[in-house]
Amino acid sequence: MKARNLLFALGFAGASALTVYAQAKDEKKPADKPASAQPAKPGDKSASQPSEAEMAKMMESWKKAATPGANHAKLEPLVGKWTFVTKARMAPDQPWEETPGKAEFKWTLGKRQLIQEVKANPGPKDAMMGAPFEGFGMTGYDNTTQKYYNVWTDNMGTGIMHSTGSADSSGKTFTYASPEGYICPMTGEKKTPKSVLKIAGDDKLVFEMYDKGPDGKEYMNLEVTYTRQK
Amino acid sequence: MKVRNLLFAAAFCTASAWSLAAFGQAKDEKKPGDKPAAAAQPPAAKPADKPSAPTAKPADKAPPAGADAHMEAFMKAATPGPEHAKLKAFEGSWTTVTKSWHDPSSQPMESKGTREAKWIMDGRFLEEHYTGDFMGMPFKGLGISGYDNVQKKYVTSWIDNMGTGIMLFVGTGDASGKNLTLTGEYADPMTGKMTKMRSVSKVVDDKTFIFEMHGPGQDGKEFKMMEITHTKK
Repeated sequence: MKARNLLFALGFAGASALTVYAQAKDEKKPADKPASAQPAKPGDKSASQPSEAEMAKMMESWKKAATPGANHAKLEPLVGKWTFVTKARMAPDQPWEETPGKAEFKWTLGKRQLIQEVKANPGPKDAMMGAPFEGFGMTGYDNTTQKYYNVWTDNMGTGIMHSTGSADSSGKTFTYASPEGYICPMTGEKKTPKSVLKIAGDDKLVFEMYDKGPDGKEYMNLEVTYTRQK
Repeated sequence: MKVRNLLFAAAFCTASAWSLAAFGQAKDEKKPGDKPAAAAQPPAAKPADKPSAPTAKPADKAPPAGADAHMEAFMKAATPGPEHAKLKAFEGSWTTVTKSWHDPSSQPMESKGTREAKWIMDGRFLEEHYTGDFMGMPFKGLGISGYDNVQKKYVTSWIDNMGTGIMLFVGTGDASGKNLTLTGEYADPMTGKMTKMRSVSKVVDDKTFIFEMHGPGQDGKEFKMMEITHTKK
């Protein structure tokens, strides 16, 4: 149950599991003070104090959960500045519409997550919202759930879109689903889009999104081709 | 242009691409010289100042069935409103004092940090950067917070350098708008099981807010695991 204390480490402030650890450590080595302030008195032992073996197990789990690894390295080819062309269509029998843009992927938080920033290019003074299109995404791999995840926000909505997925054996194709989806604001219909990101070369990425057409069949409604800026 | 931008946004994930596009095209074809409904609207960069600007024109005679309603719904979904204005209380530069407990009876550990929160996406989301240290280790976190007009819920995504996962929180504000309660879950690194968390943000005054995190203790009962007092710089 002390595992629950690890949730801070994983979840919000990195505190609780390490608090337990710090306190246990203090008890063992009172002279070996941690760097941060420690109001708890050494020897102020609570009945819930974990054993050394449990402690070690907790720390091992936490390290495993918190340390980026081979699955994070698969995202490395995305890093950099890109130009892209988005092709989108409204239905399987409709023509594609193209929009150019610029994007940048960069690592954050010790190469744990990638941030993607997108701007429409050449920044049309958009007729809809009076502002050029902008988007912000976070991508990572959760060692505990063993899934890739994507979070996306943009200035054409107020919601946060979340999807999770996996890489294929080549490590170059990532397929994401959004089972919880979102409610289309216009129709009230629940949408559960699928998306695929393909690393098509050192300097090329292809991102695809799929939706269900009027006949209920899945079709690709968006394709973004990224070319690395030189 | 309008259609293209709509598609761009819609397809990227926010909206129903073909219903929007169908509307855009139909309307463009019918009234090529007519301005789109929202063209005259100023950028929604200051949610606090313009919380509920009217968007679509109900009287517009655009003929496609339901199209104006669709557009109006889209604009309503996309335009920051009074709930976004409430998030203004959390923007800016803050110094923080964090207390954390590993069980309800333990003494808290304390640490200090800073938090910077700025608006992105034209006043739709707060991007929050937290920096502190923990036991000598640098601690950094990044959060995106907003209000989803469709779900009618506050939403937060959080990542930090103490894990590789992401936490998604969803919740509501009380009548005063000064207390926000959100819940989320994360995968416990030891068991792999999803574990529920609850966050509470309390605006104390113009220069102070408190953020609390509650989660299950060893007995399964919820207790306050963390309290961060923010003081505006």
